[in-house]
Parts: sequence; structure tokens; C-alpha cells
Amino acid sequence: MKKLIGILVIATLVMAGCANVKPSHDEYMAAVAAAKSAKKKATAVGYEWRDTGKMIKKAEEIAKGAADSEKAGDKEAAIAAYQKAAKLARKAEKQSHDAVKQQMQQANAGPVF
Amino acid sequence: MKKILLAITALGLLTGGQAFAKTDPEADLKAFRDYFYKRFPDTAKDDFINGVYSIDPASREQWEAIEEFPPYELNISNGEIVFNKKFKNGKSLASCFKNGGKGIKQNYPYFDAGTGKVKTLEQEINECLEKNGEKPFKYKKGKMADVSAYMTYTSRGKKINVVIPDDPRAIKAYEAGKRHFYAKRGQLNFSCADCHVYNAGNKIRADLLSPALGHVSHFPVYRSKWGGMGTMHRRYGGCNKQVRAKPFKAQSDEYRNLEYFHTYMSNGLEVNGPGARK
Repeated sequence: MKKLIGILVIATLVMAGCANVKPSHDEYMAAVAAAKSAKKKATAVGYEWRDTGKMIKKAEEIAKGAADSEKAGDKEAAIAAYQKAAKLARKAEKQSHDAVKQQMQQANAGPVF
Repeated sequence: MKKILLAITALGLLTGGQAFAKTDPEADLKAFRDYFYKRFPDTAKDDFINGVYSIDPASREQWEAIEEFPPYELNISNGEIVFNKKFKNGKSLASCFKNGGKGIKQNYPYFDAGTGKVKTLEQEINECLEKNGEKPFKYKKGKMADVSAYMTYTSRGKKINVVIPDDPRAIKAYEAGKRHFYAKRGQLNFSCADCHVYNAGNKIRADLLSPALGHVSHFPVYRSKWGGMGTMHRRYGGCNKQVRAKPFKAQSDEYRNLEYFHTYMSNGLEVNGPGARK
């Protein structure tokens, strides 16, 4: 039993040391690019929401923190931060898609007396 | 073949009729007024210029007490000083406006055939400054709000008289403003009309929603929330932000067109600005 626990502990430490940041970094980069592209479309139709830009900026700040963590050798922290940044960027992207849909729905808005 | 041609012609006439449905600002105005007269039957028609204070007696009492020593008096005095101050070239703001800039607010905004766009008072104040080699004012508060307050004060009692000429560009601007007013926007999915037409008189947290009829008459406005004077476009930006929409820039086409429609909807009511509001 002790041997088994020992093997598991060593395996976990080895795996942590081998953590690969690149996939989560790539995921973040794709998410923030998509968020920025979607925001441009919402702005172009005059329907950008108030907080979308702030969310993208926040995602970029978190990603900067992730890069710092990676430089400092804390790969797990870097992965977690990139994933958090990607999640926020996807939320921002969805806001822009919803804004564009909203504009289309409201294109012929008028009084309902 | 004949049947097909007949069907296509009929379809074309139908859709053509829809596409070229005539804009009728006068009919819009009548419907707008009738809605508010029906919703607030106890409010005198010319009293809508007093906003929530025309529909809520308790608020009106407090507001009338404030009006004994209006918080905007200093803004009017400051505005008069700036208005009459000579530029480096010896002219002043008065030189750019009809009647020396006094008693003209009720005609704004207007459609300018030369530029093909809506012009507002604040916009023309800055055009005057720039034409005379002076630095323009910022649009939302400060000197701009004070000068606008002074010019509006000289127009008190005049009936709002926005004109929509029979020019497709003017109609287009009016329609754009109307669409902005009625379209839901922002994460909270509200339109101007949601608050100020369909829910006028209802509470939003601790505040009453003001009716859109007579809305513009008291602008620029001293708002207690701002602790100072602000212009119409400052308020438009604030409202857009409140429904979590990104605001447009003050004096953008979007807001000038909105002001065009919004002010037209108060045609015939008296200018009573600048006003004091919560």
C-alpha cells in the first residue's frame, strides 16, 4: 500500500513538471481574437454593449498574468489563468453576437400604442 | 404565363407599398400626445413640460421649493458671461446667431439643407467658436452647458418648433431618431420608450419614470445626481449606459437624430429650461 501511494505521488509530481501551457495559451489566443472580431461587428451596427470592451481588456490582463506565471515556472497557475482568460473572452464574444442579433430584431422598431 | 405575371405584379405592388410607406411626423406627434393625454388624464396638457412633477404631487411640492432658489442660477449667470465675452477677433458668440442668440432655442434642432444633417444648438456654439479661431467647448457640461442654459433661459415661454421639411434626408434623420427611441438596446434590452412611454409614471427603484412628452423642454438640466448642469447628449449617454449599451459620442449623428425626433415630439410645448431635476 505504501509503495502504491509512493508511486502515485511521484507520478503526480512528474506530470506537474511536464504540464504543457501551450494548448491553454492557444485556446486563449483564439478566444480573444474571436471576441475582438465579434465586438467589431457589434460596433459596426451601433449596438455594442457597455461592458464587452472591459471584459476583453480584463481577459488580456489575466493572460498577461498567465504569461508572468509561466516565466516564473508556475505552469499550473499559467494554465489556470489562460483558461480563465479564455472563458471571459468567450463570454465577451457571446455578448457581441447577442448584440448583433438584437440589432437585427430591432431594425424596424416603432411605437406600440 | 399570364397568371404568373399577374401574381408577380401584385406582389411587387404590395411590397413596393410597404417599402415606400410615407413617414408622417404629424401623425406620429398626434398619436404620441394622445397616448400621454390618455395615460395621464389629470395632467394639464401644457404642464407636461414639468416632467415627473406634472404627474406626482408630492415630488412637485419638493421641486417647487427648490425652484424658489434654483440651483441653475449660477449656470445662467456664468453662461451669460461666456456668451458675451469677446473673442480675440473682437466678435462674440452672439455674432453667430439670429437675434444675437436670444429667444432662438425653440427652433433647435433643425435640419440643415446645406450639410444634409441635423444641427443642434450646442453644435452651432462650437462651430461659432471654431469659425472665430477659438477653442471649442466639451459637449456635455462646463461652459457648453452654461452657455446653452443661458440661451435656453432667454427662450423661456417660446413654443418648441422643430421643423421636418419635405426633404428625404430630413425624413431619414427623423426616422433614424425615431428608431433609436423605440429600439431596445444594451444588455438590459430596454428602449427609451420602455421607460418613458410604456412605463411613464411607474417606479424604477425609488424614482418615478418621467413621461417623454415634454421631456426636452427643460434641457440643459441641473441634475442633483450630477451636482451640476449637463446637456441633453450627456443624459442620452447616461441612459444608454444604464441599460448597458455602449453610449455614442455627444453630438454624433445618432444622438443628433435622436434629439431631432425627441424634440419634435414636444412641439407646441413651451421651453422652460434650464430646469432642475433629481
